[in-house]
Amino acid sequence: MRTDKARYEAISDRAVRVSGSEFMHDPEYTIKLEGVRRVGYSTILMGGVRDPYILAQLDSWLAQLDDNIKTRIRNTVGERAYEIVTRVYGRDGVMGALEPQRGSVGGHEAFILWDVISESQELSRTIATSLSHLAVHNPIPKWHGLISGVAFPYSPPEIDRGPVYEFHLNHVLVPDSPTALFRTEYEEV
Amino acid sequence: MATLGDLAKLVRSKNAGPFWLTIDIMFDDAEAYRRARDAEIVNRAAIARLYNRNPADIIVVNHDAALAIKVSFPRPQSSGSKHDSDVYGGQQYAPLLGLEVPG
Repeated sequence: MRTDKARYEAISDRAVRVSGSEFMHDPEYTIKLEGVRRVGYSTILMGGVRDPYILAQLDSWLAQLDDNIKTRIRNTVGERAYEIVTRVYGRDGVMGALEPQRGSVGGHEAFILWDVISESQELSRTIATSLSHLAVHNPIPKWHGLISGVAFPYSPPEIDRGPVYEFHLNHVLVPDSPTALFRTEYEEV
Repeated sequence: MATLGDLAKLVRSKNAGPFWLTIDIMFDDAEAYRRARDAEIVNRAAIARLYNRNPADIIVVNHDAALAIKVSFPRPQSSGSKHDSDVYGGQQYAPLLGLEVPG
């Protein structure tokens, strides 16, 4: 579609007339192929942090939690593959790697979303259950004794999310003919 | 000094397929559009700095007929994948709103 000569005119407050765009036939017939693959099963935890001492050292607090959960899982379920994706809302939860102001938490509270992904729902849930216990009691140097550092809005805090997928195929195919890839069966009725 | 957010009628972001993000900065006033366009504040270097992207991957189009500036670049991860935080890409325009527009 060529739109460099297109004109866009408001003909009312709600309608636009578009003219001058041009459809150009490509000499080669192509088919777009997109596909996903299952990457595992997800169990999530949601929690809030209000303690200003935890918020001030959130990165090291989360890194310590990450170390502790790795050790716990190695000692309980063993060497099985899993991943924990942690998002901190109030810092860079919305934009992640694209966030220009990702340095620290600016407000007086933060929301943390943990996403545990592994090959089975049972394993993800087991890891998330360990993670919720370790997270809530994850210590900071300021406080001595057992803290409760995470406010979970739900009990139990673990929520199974089922299978999760990611885009895997993104190709342009040049078939022998426009119908070559599509099976057609004719039936007499 | 006026910002891009002050001058634009609508700034929005969305997916352009699962692997790209696109941002539209739209104006309803030709004067405001030309002012933003001619200030050249929306350019590859600025987008690369704000979004921590490689300048070579960024496309910026000034679309005079639509009174709009369009910015596109690859997502850090594909839509809906494990590390993605915005499946539809709808909240990725905010860093542009504070860009100051001289004139």
